[in-house]
Amino acid sequence: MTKLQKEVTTGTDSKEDLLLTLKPAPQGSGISVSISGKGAVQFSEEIEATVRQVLEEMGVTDASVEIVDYWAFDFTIRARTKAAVLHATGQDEVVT
Amino acid sequence: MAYTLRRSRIYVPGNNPRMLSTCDLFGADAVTLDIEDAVAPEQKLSARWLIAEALRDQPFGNSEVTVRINALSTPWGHQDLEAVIPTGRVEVIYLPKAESARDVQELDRVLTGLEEEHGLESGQTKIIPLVESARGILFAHDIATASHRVVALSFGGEDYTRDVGGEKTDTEEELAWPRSALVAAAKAAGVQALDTVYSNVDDLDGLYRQAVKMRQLGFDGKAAVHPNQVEVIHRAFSPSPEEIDYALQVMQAIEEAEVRGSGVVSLGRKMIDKPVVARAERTLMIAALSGLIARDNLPESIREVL
Repeated sequence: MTKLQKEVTTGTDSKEDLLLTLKPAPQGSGISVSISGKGAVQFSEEIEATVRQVLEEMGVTDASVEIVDYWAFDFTIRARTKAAVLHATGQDEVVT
Repeated sequence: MAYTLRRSRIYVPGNNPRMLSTCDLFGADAVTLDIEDAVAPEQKLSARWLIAEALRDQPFGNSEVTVRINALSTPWGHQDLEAVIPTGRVEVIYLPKAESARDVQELDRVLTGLEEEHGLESGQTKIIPLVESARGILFAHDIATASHRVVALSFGGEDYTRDVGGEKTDTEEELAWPRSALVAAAKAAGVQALDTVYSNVDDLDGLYRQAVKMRQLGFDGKAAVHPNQVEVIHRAFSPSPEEIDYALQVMQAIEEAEVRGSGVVSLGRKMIDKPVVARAERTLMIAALSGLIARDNLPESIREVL
């Protein structure tokens, strides 16, 4: 199990990117994902599925995720989620 | 060995999702996904994973897929490799600030370990050292021959100028010697020589003039920082119709002399010697790979190496 130590935000508000905020959550509370932004209406299910998959692969079981989407591609969603987890777990000290 | 066309390569900043998703549209011979100079230290991690994830499913067209990592002496270099190599999609690693054979050998060792660990073919990842310092230029031949993975040397003009305490001018005369030295070192080692960027993206005529000069100097290609530069670089590094025609005439004269059993070959009143033949073969090979001449119109000796 991967424990998040702090709240972090990754990504930008540029086109084809997203802003992803990852927050620690109490043990046993599970994963909650909220999505807004330009691509949210059309692709929120796909975005959420991708985020949940990356969190599961990285062993994160409890977290709150807020996303503002600017039409990000799948690879960007995966990369931003992964970078957020690495930063929130202190595996890398610098991230944007 | 098959010749790989590397007339142009375009730098794509690793922290820019939009550019990473359009690499297949640039039409460059290579794309260089950049985690080094184009990315600020606080963005290295994000850029590294954007590139790694893009490598998993983004299209790159016919471009050779290359990544410029951070130097292995920095806190990021090893992590860059651990993120991108497992994708199996990286054809070439650009090694910045290469100054000795040892720099290249260390990269070779890390690549060998990662290829083995991730079930990749041993040696499939090639290396292009970026030579961009006085020391790098002086040891360029050692760098080029340090590993069988090295396929080219690439020159970095901005960093070189800064390293020697010089001043970059519009004519770039101050870079004439290191450029020539790099070409000689690369060619002596049997690898390609690739030139630095032309940073004024609005001056396409200036880029063309400079790229033609670099081709005449012996360079095989030049880096681009903007998609608009790619076509100009291709034009400069491609043989003209007249050059292709002359090369075909040379090869025909060779074939006719062979039929006659004559050791002396001439075209008109001009003797054809070995360097002229080698240049004609190279011209036709590049023309064919650039799509400027149909394969069927090539002499058999050229078709064999394509």
